Amino acid sequence: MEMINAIKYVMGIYGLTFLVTLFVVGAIIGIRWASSGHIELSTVSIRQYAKRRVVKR
Amino acid sequence: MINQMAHIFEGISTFGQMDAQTIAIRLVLIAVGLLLIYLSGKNILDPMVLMPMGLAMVLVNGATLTIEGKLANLFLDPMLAKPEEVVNSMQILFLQPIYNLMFSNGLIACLVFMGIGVITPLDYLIARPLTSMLIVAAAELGSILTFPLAVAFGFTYKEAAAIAIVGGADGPMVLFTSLELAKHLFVPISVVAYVYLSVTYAIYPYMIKLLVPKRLQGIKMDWHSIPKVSPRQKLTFAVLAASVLSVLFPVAAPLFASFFIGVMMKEANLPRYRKFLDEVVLTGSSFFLGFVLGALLSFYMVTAPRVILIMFLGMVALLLSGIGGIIAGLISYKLSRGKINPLIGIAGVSCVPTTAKVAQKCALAVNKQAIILPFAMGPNVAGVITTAIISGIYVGLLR
Repeated sequence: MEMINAIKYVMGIYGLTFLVTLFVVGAIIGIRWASSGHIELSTVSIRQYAKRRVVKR
Repeated sequence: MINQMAHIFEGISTFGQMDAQTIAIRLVLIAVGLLLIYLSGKNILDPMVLMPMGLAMVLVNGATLTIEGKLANLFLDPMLAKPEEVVNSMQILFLQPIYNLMFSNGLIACLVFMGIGVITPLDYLIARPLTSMLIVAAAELGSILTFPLAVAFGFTYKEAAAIAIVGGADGPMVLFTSLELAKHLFVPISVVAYVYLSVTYAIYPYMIKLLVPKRLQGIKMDWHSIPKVSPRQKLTFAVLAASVLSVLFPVAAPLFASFFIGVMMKEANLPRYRKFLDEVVLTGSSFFLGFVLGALLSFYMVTAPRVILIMFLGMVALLLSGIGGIIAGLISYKLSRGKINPLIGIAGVSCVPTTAKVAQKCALAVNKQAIILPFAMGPNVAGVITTAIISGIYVGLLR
């Protein structure tokens, strides 16, 4: 009985580990996506963003 | 005359004050120490930790003397609890200051981790995160399945977690978890972990030969398939991972901080810090780790109950992790339609960079052109991160 409880307990830990692991994978994919030019804060893009805000107003 | 001789040669005369069983254990430990020196001298075991450990084992069990009517040595005493005892012992026992300042608070684990961080390449992990992390999820089998097994053998949840983390094959993590959860088992667990981590270097190749068909062992992997990873990406990952994982698991924050600061010093191109962490911090802490662990292996520590069980469970944990890693490697081979060499699975057992080197050595033994080390470093590094996550969860839940 004690062992079955321990198995249930440790499976919960494994599940949580797996979720955090997937989060790390997501973070890495996010970093690669961001650094491949999808979100580039060049002066041109900042100027375009500011212009859009002015037009909206 | 005989009395005077007994006083002069106290190391020998103390044998007369022991029962037959203790004498046998003392002699066996001296013999094991000598064996460790011999095997590490021949490079069969890792000499960086095990050679100083072997020498300390020989000396601490040989140089036994009587202090205030009790058998002791002048190396260190890990069982002191009262502050005045600790202060007094620091003036007499020569390794006691190092033990108190570096071992009882886990600093040694963090120093080793800083050094590991600085020698760890993140390239393949960032280029192929899913493959690396999924291999590791299977290669952590030992750190998970050993837990219920240890509970079945009568260990408490805290003790079982400290033993199970041996399956993560990361020395600093084992030190950290046992110090946090089962301080009374710190010596046997950490010694078992470090001795076994060296033994894995010798055992895993046989496991690979047994489980992976020879034609798959020599598969060449295409270098050009790895996308280029810039130092900026690696630096960003180190900062992000250290910050977020520390917020999620504050108990393991010292480990995350130590590992990722090493990675950052490497990727930020700061050669002086890199050299300091690699050549001074890692070398120095590995040396004192081996020497102090050896000095802790005196006969009165080893006769503690359940040491044999811990040794057995430690071995089971590492074998399960190895099997899990190899199975994950074979699955990756199938999913990639033969592009991934299944041997990189064993590198998921962490122990940076030993298991990655084992994978490379086995691949080269079959095919001289199979360079898989850069690929194996992905799961290898992911193993460090995942073991730290499991350790953080265990400590967070059970502390």
